[in-house]
Amino acid sequence: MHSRHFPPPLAHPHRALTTRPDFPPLTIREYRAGDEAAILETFNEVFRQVDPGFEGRTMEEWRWRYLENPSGWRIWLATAPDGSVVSQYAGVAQRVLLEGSPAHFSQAVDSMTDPAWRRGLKKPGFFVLTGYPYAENYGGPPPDKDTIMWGLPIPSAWRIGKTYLDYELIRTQLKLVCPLENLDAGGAGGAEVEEVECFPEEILDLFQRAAEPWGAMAVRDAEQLNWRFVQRPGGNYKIALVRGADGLRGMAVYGSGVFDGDAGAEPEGLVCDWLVRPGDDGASAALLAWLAEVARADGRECLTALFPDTAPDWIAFQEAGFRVHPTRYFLVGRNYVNRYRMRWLYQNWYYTLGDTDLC
Amino acid sequence: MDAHAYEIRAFRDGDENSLLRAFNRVFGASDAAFRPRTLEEWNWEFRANPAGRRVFLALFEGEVVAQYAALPARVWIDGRESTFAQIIDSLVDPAHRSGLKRPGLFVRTAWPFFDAYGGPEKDLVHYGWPVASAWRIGKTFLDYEIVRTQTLLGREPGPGPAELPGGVEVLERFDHQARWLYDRCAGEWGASAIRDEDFLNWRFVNNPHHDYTILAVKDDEGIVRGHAVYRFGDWVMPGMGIVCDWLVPPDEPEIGALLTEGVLAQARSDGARSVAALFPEWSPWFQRFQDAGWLVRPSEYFMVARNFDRRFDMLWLRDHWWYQLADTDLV
Repeated sequence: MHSRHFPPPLAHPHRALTTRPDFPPLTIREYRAGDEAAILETFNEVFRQVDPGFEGRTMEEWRWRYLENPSGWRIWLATAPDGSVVSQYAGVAQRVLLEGSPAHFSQAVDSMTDPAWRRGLKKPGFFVLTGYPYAENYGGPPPDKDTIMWGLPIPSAWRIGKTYLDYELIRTQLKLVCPLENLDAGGAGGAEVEEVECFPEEILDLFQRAAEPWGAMAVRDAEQLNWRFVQRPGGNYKIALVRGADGLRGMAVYGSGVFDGDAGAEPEGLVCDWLVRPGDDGASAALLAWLAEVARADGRECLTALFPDTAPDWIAFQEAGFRVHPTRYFLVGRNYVNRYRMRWLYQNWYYTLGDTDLC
Repeated sequence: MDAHAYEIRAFRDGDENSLLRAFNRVFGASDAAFRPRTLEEWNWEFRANPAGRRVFLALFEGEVVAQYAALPARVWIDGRESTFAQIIDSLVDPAHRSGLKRPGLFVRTAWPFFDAYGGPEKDLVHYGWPVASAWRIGKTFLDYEIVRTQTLLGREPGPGPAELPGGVEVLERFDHQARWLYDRCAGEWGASAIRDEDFLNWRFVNNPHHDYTILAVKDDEGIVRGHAVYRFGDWVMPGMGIVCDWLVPPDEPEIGALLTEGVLAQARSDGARSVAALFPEWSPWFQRFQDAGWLVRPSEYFMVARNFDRRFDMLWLRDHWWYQLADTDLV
């Protein structure tokens, strides 16, 4: 399937890219096994230049993020003849339940271009030239292609993306923040929280119940959630479940970090994931109280959560003492099926901080 | 149909009757509750606006069949006065919607409109709250972009007095003090429509569509320290109180608290089931209203704009532009 507005493939992309005759021929292609060392070298160099405090990504982390994701990987590269990676357009895949049927979305992350190669480039540059085949190859109708590509871009990527890659705004992303002393979790009605090391298989049943009111939600099964929160190298998440007589009633994942502050900002307690049966106020209250308890034990002063403002949880959290604050983020997307336009996503897609790479 | 069959040009005196016929024909056909617009209403909106008029028309055989129009407002932006304009009342007669190859008459009427009125030394920003179909056309052909998906603050009036608290009074109209108050507030904002006597009296006091209540707090010397313009009516919910304009210096929370009590008392007096207000999320009032029991709710609205100066792109507008429901034609 061919996506909209794509220019024809470039026979000699390197000539189209630059006015400099000393540019070597470049290859734009999908990731191949063995590229990872070169990807990491460029990645760490690029991000170290923009963030002196950047600690560098390890091979273990990279493999976890891409190759070990149960939903798959999405990577296109521009490579030089010596095998070095000049540019990358990449995404984290998500299996999604889309109006009751299996589908895929992907979150664009880790896009980069080696600054040494930016000089002398013609527009639109590598970001777009790797983005075109990425979209061409991965975007399309369900179940196998990514029906939606989405992200939380920095302003420069947004400006390029909306001009060349059909990025559109889905939502001005706001966050919910609650100083712990203000939290009023409400009555749990006997619901008890169980802290666990990993997600059990029965989490799938909770996901299916919780997904019912929504048009789109990333699959939260044991395989996906354990990859996301248990197997992540360096990850330090806490997981809680609420059980009922007929299965799981709710789950929450706690983490700690700086979600939206400047470098050096004080870490806050993060509601990394949240899934509760619709209308189960007792399970919600028990999980909120647990989140506050672990945040307090972790030395944090507040809890921060992220939901679509169309979610019932958005209001319920405010009623429990959370306040809405702006963030630097805005959620953007690109759809490959007409039905799932940005307004549809705004109204029908449920996500949490755990869907993003921000926690 | 050939595009040359249409005369596309700026409004001229004498067009108003044909324009009104087109307006009432188009909107009357799509809305059973539509009340035809009168010449008096049109004159208020487009002739009496102290900031001027922005209207382009397409005429077929001498009759108006399409309009692209906006309400300009003087704004203070980045240390100087300029104008923004709110796109409203765009229309194409259904009989002329499919006559041209894409782009259709809507776009062909809008293009010269933007050429005539938009630019770094003209209107810096055109904005609006489009319906879905206008948004799809606008983003494709007219460089519309989303500034923000719009939230509203809302609450029930709750139990409490139905009389205005001491210190809150009702003004009949605005006077020269409106500009003083605006100047005390605007220093915190990157861009905002200038709230002076002329604008506010035109927008609220002389408005032929609705009745508004101007609540104000004055100090001992009779100086207005803050105002809230309130209306009772049907909007996103039936029978609601609406805070249409809020002008209180950000560093005077006690004035805001008093006015908020005034708004709630007025809402109780009107029997309103809910009250709504709108603030940019970066405003201290966005937090203070939440602290006073207002919840942030999503809405069907999204603020759309087109900028004519690269400095004032959508992210800049999101983070710097103060606007209220008064800056829209929604209330």
